[in-house]
Amino acid sequence: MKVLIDEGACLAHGDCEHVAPHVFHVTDIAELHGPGTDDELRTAARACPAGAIRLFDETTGEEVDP
Amino acid sequence: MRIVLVGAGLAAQRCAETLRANGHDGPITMVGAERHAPYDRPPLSKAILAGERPDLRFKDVDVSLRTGTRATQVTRTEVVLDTGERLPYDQALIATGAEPVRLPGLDHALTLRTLDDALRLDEAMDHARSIAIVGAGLIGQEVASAARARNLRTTLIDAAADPFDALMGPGGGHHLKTLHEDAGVTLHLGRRLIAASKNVLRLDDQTTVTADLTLVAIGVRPATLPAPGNVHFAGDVTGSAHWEAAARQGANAARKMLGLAPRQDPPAVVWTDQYGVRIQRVGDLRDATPNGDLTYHRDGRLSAVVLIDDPAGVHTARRMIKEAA
Repeated sequence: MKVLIDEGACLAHGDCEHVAPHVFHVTDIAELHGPGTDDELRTAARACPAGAIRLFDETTGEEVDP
Repeated sequence: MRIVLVGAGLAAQRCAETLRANGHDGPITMVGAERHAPYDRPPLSKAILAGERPDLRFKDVDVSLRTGTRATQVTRTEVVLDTGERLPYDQALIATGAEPVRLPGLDHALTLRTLDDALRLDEAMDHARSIAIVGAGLIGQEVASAARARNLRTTLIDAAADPFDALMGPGGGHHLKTLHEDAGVTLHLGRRLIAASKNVLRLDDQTTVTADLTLVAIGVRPATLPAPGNVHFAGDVTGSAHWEAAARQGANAARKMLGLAPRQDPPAVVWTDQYGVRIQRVGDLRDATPNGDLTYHRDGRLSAVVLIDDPAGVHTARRMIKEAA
């Protein structure tokens, strides 16, 4: 799964870093810090109150629901 | 460039973070009235009242922080502190937040705004069997949820007949109201307080509510500070009382100070956690009318969506609103 942080939507709540600390790093905006498993990415996307973590299927390129 | 941030809440914190992230390396002074370093408020009416003690402090950002200090005056060139000090500035932000509105005759009642307020309320709930909450806005609702989880007999009073609709519209409001009813909260809606003593509240329909604890949560008023036209404002002091607005306004104030274009706001999200359920609203309800149970239209276009325990739905809702605009 591919992950994209929607910079216009991210509000640096910090929930993604809280649930996946080695994947996300949040300053004034969330940034990718390292690779994560699909499960971790899904958990983080669900935890994001701003809906700023978008997930895409690696083969089809289509956006998938977390 | 010398920057002074008056206030040490979310808006000031985001302003400082955004200044640093965009390369400002001059001095930033942050002046906060509370004794605490900047911290995040949403958990005050959630985790703290569940007896949890999460670390609420925001990330460290390189500022000179003055806690327990108030600004008394802002001139065109200086911020004057209650210590008598004068801080010269090139750019200043007023982000002093808001203060709970109190009710006459209820001086003993608690309010909930700061970390110290939340710790006091958490402690008081330990020794109480019942609580009366005056005001069924976001804070009143979340305290009711926390009080029921602790098995306190809980009464929620509001002057409006449909206070639950304010945040989430009629569809979401109906859902919220049902959550409170199902949890056993006694509701007195469309009722005003006419008299109060320490443990007894009398309502305008002559109902009497007795409770060990009373919380007044009827709203906030901006903690304004007279200031000249060259300063920036962000957060609850502007009258917008939501987390997301404070975050965006703080960041955009920083961008303005640096001469950068403000960021475009995507459809706003507000949220509440009650009885283990997360309820979110994407978009805004101004001039909107219900269209279906949990969607709202303005001028025939989708303008807001309410999500019940569906945090992953924010993406889709946001996209649908953007596409409809």
